Amino acid sequence: MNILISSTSGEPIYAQIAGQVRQLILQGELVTGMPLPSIRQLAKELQISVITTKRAYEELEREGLINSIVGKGSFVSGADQEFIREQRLRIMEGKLKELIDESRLLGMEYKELAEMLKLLYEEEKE
Amino acid sequence: MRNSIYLIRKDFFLVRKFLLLLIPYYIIIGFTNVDAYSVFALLPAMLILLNACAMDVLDNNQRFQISLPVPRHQLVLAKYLSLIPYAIISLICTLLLYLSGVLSGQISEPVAWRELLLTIATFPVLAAFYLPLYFWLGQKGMQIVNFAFIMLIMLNITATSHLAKRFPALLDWIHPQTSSHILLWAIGGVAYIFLLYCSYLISLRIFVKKDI
Amino acid sequence: MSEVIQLEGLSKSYDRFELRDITVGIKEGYITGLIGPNGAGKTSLIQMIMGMVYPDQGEIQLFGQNHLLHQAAIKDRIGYVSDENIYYERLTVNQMKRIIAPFYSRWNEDIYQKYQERFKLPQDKKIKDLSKGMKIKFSLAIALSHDADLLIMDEPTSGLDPIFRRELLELLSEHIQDEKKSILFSTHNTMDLDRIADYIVFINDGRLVFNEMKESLTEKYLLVKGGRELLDRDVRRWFIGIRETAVGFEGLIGNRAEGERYFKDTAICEIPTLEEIMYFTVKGSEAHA
Repeated sequence: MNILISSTSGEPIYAQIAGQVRQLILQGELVTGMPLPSIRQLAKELQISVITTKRAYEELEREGLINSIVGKGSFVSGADQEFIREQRLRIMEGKLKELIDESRLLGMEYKELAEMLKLLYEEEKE
Repeated sequence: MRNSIYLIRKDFFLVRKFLLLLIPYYIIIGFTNVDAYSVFALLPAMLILLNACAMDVLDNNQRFQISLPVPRHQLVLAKYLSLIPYAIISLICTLLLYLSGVLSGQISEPVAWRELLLTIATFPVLAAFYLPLYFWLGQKGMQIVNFAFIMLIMLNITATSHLAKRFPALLDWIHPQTSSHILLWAIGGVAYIFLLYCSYLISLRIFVKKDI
Repeated sequence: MSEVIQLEGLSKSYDRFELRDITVGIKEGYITGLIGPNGAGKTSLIQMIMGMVYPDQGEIQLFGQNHLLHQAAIKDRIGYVSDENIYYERLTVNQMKRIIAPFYSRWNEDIYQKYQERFKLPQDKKIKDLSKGMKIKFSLAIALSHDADLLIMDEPTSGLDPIFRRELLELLSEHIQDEKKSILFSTHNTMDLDRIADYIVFINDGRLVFNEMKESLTEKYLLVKGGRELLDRDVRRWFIGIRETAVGFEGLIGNRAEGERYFKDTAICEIPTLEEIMYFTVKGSEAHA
């Protein structure tokens, strides 16, 4: 398992850790029941603070991706791929709603927004 | 008590090199003044004490002592207890001096125990004045105090021999033949212990509340 | 969460300087960084915690015990690294170690030997002949060899090369693998703390500025960079400290959400580093004084 953090990316470190562990779970590299390094262990390996690591784990726990058992550590939860996908979709929906609000503020029509999305989507694909 | 022993052990680490200087000191006396050997029991003990104290306040060493898991009053106590081994060292050295005097034929009378013990007994008295000053002044002004005390000891040595010559009665007091002096000795002893105890309390009061 | 050090209303006046009413709790199980500019009172505070200097007012508790009543028991559990050498300069490393070891009830000679090797401490060299870095390594080896529950370090990273500084930070996170162990260390080099510190205690000019989780600082503070035309009297008031130049300004705001709302479209908004928080706070307090 690899976790690489960047101190110049501007993204908070806890979010980087949570994001990478999430990715690993979604890719199936970390499977149900697999133990994660302890909070203090990971903090030491990454040379970051304990609280930052704790926060990343708490985030993952909230998403239902991992379970923490007092005295035993954290494990990848039994959530199946479908459930995880749904979780992700819900997060995406939230972001899209923000986007819609923003477009309304700018007085954009749906068509314009869809056009923009399409354009960007295609650009990214290339 | 264990802490005191470790603290005294620490002082011996510090004065180890200094102790070696005592050898030439006694050799010189051995060649010059061996018949007055008892007078020279004071200086080494006092010098060891001054040296140990000076080493302890050098740099930030008092801070080191405070950082140790030892309550402050034990730091004070250990300094007072360290007078015992210093006195014993001085006594042993002086006895060795006496022995060399006997072997070389310069001394023929028996050990002057009373004079010897009285000389050594002045060491804690001097220390009783010195230690509160040491705890009070710390690093600042210690050199002056040390110098003053060394002068005092020198004076002390010459003064006693002068006094002894001028007032033979004093010698009579030192060589009491009658048992009526027992009371005097008892009072003296109590006063002696009282003095040391007061000195200890003063040092304690000074040091326990002091910012290091 | 229990607190390993509790300072309650500490005040102390010195000749030219005063610590005023410092109340701080240091959390058990974490690394707390004590920051502040030179002369802010970091060392004075640590010396008070170590019982070297007495406060004029206030109370100090360590491990939940009054630090005056339980001096010996408390210090048995503390590993202390001073900012200046406190050891006997004329003794060798090994002699000094032999003096110190018997005082600690949980001294572990094997661990000491391990650190001695790891730090390449020259056993028979006199302490006065050691480099500054070596002296710190030596006191670190001592502090880590008696199973201390609390490490108190005063500027341990000054005088260390960057390589050993990294190693030190690693040692510290190794130390708190045990959740009962805590670390308090002061520094003016905030880079060390940006990474590993869990809590930050910031003092400036003898006063406590804040005692916060480092993680939440990034949510509280905002660094704004923009053109000078943005600054009018009311806007200025929001800033803790501002640095104005011919080509713009940068400033620190204590209310991130509000600052972001206002400056989002007109200026650059960044997460400040600890150094920037420290810099602008000190600058601001000087301007107000």
